Amino acid sequence: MSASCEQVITLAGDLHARPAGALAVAAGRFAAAVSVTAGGHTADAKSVLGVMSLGATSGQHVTVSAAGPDAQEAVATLITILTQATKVGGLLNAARRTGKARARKCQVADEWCLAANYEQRITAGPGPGRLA
Amino acid sequence: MTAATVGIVLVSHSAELAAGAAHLAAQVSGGTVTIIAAGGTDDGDLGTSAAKVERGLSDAQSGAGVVVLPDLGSAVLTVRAVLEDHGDAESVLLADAPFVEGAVAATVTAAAGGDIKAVAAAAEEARHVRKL
Repeated sequence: MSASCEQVITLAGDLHARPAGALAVAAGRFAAAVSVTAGGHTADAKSVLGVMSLGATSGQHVTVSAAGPDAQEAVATLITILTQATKVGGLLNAARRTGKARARKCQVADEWCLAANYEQRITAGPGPGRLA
Repeated sequence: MTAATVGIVLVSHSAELAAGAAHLAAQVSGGTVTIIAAGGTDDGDLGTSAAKVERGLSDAQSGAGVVVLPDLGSAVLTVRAVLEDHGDAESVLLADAPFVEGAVAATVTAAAGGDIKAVAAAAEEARHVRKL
């Protein structure tokens, strides 16, 4: 089944090298095409250099989009990593643990998936999967 | 994802440069990839060492292949000489890439489970990613 999925979050911290690396490593494990958009620029989420070149900073809105068979889980996983962008240690483990549980309902074909209160929860503070 | 991950060998004229690039790439990619720094001559001067490259190729090989990144043109001569003597064209690829960016991009792709061609391609694509 092919699906497309998109979510927007507000970054809690700057998207430096290690968070960008964690994002690209995680993105590379999905079959779906995944992109990250910030400040009007879009990068292939599987390209660590592309993600770093976005220069995304704390407070900026970042959109994660995916299209492909595992788009839903890809977006949920990458959103989790971005959420914890200021917490470098254990990023990947946190993503593995929470990515699936947080997967939001995606709609088939070209419709967007919706995460109505996701942004609120992220900006309000640590989510349940956040590492200390 | 298979258990074997593509290994990376960084061949630099400077031991410190190779070690630093290896450290950086390991940090960005989460530390799951074997990265061997093969820098400097056998007696610690600036230059390259066929013995270090040969040892690096062996140490980085875990069955999925090895991608080698040289820092400057003459490092290529050393790598090619080693490959002519001992190389297996299928299991070792020499990437024409910017040293630091290529090392980071290649390692991240290896960490995501990319095969040897994908890892070499990630290194070479680093040439086209703008920083600004």
